[in-house]
Amino acid sequence: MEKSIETIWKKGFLESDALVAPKINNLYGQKSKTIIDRLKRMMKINTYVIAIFAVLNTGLYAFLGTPYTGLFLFFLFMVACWVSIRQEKSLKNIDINLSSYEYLKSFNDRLKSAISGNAKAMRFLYPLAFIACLMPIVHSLKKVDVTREAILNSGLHLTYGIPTVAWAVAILIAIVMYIFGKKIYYWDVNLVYNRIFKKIESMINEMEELRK
Amino acid sequence: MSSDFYKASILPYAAIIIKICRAYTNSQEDFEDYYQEVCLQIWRSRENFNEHAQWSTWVYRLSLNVCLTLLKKKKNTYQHFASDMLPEEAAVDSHAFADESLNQLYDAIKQLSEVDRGVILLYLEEKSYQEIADIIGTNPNNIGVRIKRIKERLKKLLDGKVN
Repeated sequence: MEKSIETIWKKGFLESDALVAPKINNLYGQKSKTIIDRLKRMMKINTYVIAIFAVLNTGLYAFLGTPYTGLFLFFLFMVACWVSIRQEKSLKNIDINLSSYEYLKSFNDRLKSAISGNAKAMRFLYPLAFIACLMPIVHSLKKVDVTREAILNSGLHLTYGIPTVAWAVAILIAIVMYIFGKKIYYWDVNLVYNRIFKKIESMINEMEELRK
Repeated sequence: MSSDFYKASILPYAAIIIKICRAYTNSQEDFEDYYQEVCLQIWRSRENFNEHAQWSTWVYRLSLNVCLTLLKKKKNTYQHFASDMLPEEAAVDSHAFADESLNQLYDAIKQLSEVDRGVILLYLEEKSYQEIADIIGTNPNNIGVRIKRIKERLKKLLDGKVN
């Protein structure tokens, strides 16, 4: 080696083009794509999980002696799958030729609108699923001698072999679930996607500030 | 990031960022990504800057941290892919600078450990041992010995004695 590393370093950077700063552009191009691909992947996995759970749940309900309730819940889960697939499809048609900011903003707007639309459908699903979930309990209360006798001797007014007051409480809970259905749905969605939603929001905010 | 901020607070230190990013990347594409990410991180962290410190030291520290983080992320990503993807990615762009000796020096620096690369870059930028220790986050007493060892290794690499 003829020159010391210090000399090579100093002399090398005397060249006029050695330290030309690259132009800052498309700062978020790859990031936007990565985060949206991740969200889409999560949505797809979520749909598969619901579908698999729906099948397993049907089997479980059949085992518990309430196969029709199982089929009804299967139908409800399929509705949830359909909602999820619809959500995914609505996000597929965004023009990829848009700038990173416009793409991310457009994606976020569509996502919010899809979630808001789904919330309307899901508020019916939660109370129905709740009532359906009670059916195996109703079935076992009526089937087991001890509980059946206790109910019959309770002196309460019965409907379909169960105290009417219990039905009333269940219906009341279902009504509350309907009223708060949107909130439950948002809580449910945030439970799975909150981190990624926040990331998208923070990227958009940052990009808006960068554009100033 | 406003263009005023870029012009006033980043562009005068672009040389520092370029030198560091070059040491941690093997292609022009990666270099530009790293450079942009460092600029963005400087802008993001501008409010955390301690007025008593030197802005250039802050830029060095952030640049090194960002490069090390990106390198780590890249390594983790590689672990998820098939090994047949690696050779193309690992191809070294040895013609980043017009000066051939500088290209060779960078190639040698890239063969050092990630932290040693940071240490030697700071040394070559004539930072004091104390400043190097502050930026790297180590004891200043070890810096001298470490630099001596790194320089010996670089000398061997440049002499072609070590592959």
